[in-house]
Amino acid sequence: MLRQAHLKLIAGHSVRHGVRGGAGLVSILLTMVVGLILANIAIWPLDAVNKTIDKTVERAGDRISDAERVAAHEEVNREVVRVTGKAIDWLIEPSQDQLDYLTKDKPAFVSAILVLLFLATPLFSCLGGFNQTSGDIATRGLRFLLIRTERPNIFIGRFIGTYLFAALVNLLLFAVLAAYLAAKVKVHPSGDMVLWMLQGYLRLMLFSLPYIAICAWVSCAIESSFGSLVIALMLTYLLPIFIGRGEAIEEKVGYLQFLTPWGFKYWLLQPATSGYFWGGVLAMLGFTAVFLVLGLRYFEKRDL
Amino acid sequence: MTAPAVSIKNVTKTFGKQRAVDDVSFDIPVGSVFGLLGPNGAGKTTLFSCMANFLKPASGSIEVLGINVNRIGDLCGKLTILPQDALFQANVPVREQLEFFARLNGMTQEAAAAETTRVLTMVGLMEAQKKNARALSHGMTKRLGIAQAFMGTPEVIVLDEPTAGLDPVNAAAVRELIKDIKQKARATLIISSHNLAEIQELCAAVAILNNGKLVECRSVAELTQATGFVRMTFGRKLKDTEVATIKGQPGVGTVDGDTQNEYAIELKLAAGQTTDQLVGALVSELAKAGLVPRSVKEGASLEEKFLEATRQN
Repeated sequence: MLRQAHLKLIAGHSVRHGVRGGAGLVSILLTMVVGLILANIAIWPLDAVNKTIDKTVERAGDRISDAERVAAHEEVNREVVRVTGKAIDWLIEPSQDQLDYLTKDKPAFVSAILVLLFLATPLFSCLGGFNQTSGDIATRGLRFLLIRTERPNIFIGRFIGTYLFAALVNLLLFAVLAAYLAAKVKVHPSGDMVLWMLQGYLRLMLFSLPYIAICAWVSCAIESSFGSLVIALMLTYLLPIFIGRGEAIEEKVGYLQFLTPWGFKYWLLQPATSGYFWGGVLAMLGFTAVFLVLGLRYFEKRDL
Repeated sequence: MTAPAVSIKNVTKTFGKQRAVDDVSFDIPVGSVFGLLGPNGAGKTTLFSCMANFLKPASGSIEVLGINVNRIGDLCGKLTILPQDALFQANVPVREQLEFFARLNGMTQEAAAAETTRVLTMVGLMEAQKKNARALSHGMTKRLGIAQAFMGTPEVIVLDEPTAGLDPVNAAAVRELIKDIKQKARATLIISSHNLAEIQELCAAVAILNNGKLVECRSVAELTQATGFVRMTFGRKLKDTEVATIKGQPGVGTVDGDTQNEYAIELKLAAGQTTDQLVGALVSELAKAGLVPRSVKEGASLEEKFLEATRQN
């Protein structure tokens, strides 16, 4: 029986002590480092070109007018948007509608960063979610809770706590990125970029749901924190890689991606009015429900 | 008739092919202090774990206070346990962990704080309340375990080897704590221990497990046979000839010695003879032979009965 009060207590305790054992700390650190590195892949070339222009202008002195300098930057920005569009096209092979949405309706530069962050979202989710119960099963620390509440409260409470913890960590990453983009990147209006970052954050958190649910399932099945991290990462990344390899041989194999959340990830970067977007939302919620039910069934029956 | 505090019916628990608990059934009366005994690997901790719903039995059922332990949520706050080898969260302060448990037991924030203060004071851990669990010594961790088991007003308290690994001073302190709590709490206490003297001191009834099977379940008085045996303690271990001297005395049956200079002597009363008369005559005769017992206790020791029960099976 699920009890709201117990869920709230367990989730709150889980968030407060998300850094227990150092795993949470590692998760924060790696999410920040990997997230910033990925964002830097998009930001660095733009920064480099702008710096080169600034140096050239400085050397030229009065020979280049302010208007010419602004025009040069604008030209670079246009080129950046064009190249970014090409990169997005190459990375996710979108429909023309989606490409227009990501590169024309929304700030293309931010879209490129979101596309890269989506690739790493399962990794962030696994890092934050692998130790939901496995460590406490191994130390038998869970036994202090088992006589005070029903198992579903522990399982779902820890899942909610882990998800909130991951949401906070990702919020920190997005806040740093948004602040940087607003202050330094003048390719698009700052307001548009921050708003799209915020929407992107919400979409990314939706994408991370099924992966944290997979971790909840794996974590309750394996009595080793490290083991559950390895298994969760293998399920998360090896499966899509194998399917991707298969797709290179036989195109139809690619449809197997839709048996995992990975296949639907870029549906979430469609316009909010499109059927794809809501299909993506339903897929994420559906996968989450399936993984949670499977995990919960196992957790309820197993010896602890 | 009062319903038992714990009713164990035909419980079997297997790990692979091994039967850790094999068709065990017994009841534990309400308000009693009950001991669960058995050699290592006998199935005591497994049975306790089934009782607390940590482990799922392969067959059989366990009811605590008339509630099947599968519905453990209905026993929240009524059943508590000191698990044998469970670890507290290493990086969380002691007070916070206990307050969290108290909140799960249904207490408000204020009540949980007050209850935590009460149990920490009870086990002498108030000074360590802000320390992380990893900073506690083994003895302190054990006391913390006892503190969480006595939070609130539990009706059934299971203590799995509460003094294991403690030095004699700490073990005695924990025993006194249990006695003290028992006097105040009126709860049913179920204790397992390898220290049989401790069980004999604390418990009114015991069950003995061996190889997963129940081999005895009786009151301590019945088990140690209050009549028909005396235990004499001598100042040293007796030589075989001296044991033979005891055996040769009138009214003496078997004589079994153990390592603590204590000898269990079976009494065979003659017609019309009382135990007092026979024991008085025996002590007098032994004194003449230079064998002066330091103490004489009626009944067999629990240890002896335990060894007898586990050897037979």
